[in-house]
Amino acid sequence: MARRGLPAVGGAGAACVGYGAVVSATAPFTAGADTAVALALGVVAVALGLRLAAGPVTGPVLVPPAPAPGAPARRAVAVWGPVLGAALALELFSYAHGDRAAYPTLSSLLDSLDGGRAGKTLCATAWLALGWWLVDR
Amino acid sequence: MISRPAVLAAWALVGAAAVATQVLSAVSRGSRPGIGAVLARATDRRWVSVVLVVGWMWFGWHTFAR
Repeated sequence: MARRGLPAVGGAGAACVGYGAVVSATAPFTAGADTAVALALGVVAVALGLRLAAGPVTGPVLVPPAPAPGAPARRAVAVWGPVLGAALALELFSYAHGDRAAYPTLSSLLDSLDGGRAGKTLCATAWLALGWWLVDR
Repeated sequence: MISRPAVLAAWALVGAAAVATQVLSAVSRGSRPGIGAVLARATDRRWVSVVLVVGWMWFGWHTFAR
């Protein structure tokens, strides 16, 4: 990840919280929600395009990074594979049953979390922060 | 038929496993990769970055707009 100073990280965090509050003030299926979310998508898409155009920070793209000792990719799969696999299986299981009340999916659980303004602000802030992290690498 | 409380308990178990895995990663001093390290390594590849950002876009649109 690109190294940022505390002011830059704090500024980005404040921007995520502020815009998260803006997004949370809109209601889904309205022009306001469409505009607020589309603006965030556009900013991140442009940032990703600029990042990809600038090229990698370390080494050319076609040369993969030298593997670190201990086969980290295999370790990552061993550590996180069961957790992510269980989440995926549960999501598919719930989705296949269709009845959201009896078989809640992850997004229906999120719906109950972001039903209130505070929860929705929290979710939107986390979503924006993740988007920032993804393109600021 | 499985009841809603059972499905919610299963989700809680998965969430607890994810938190426990991340905490174990944090205290393992690098011997077990955390989710941040996994994502950071995965996004060294451009196509993974693009896929993750597209997924992020879909999630935001699905959750907050439509």
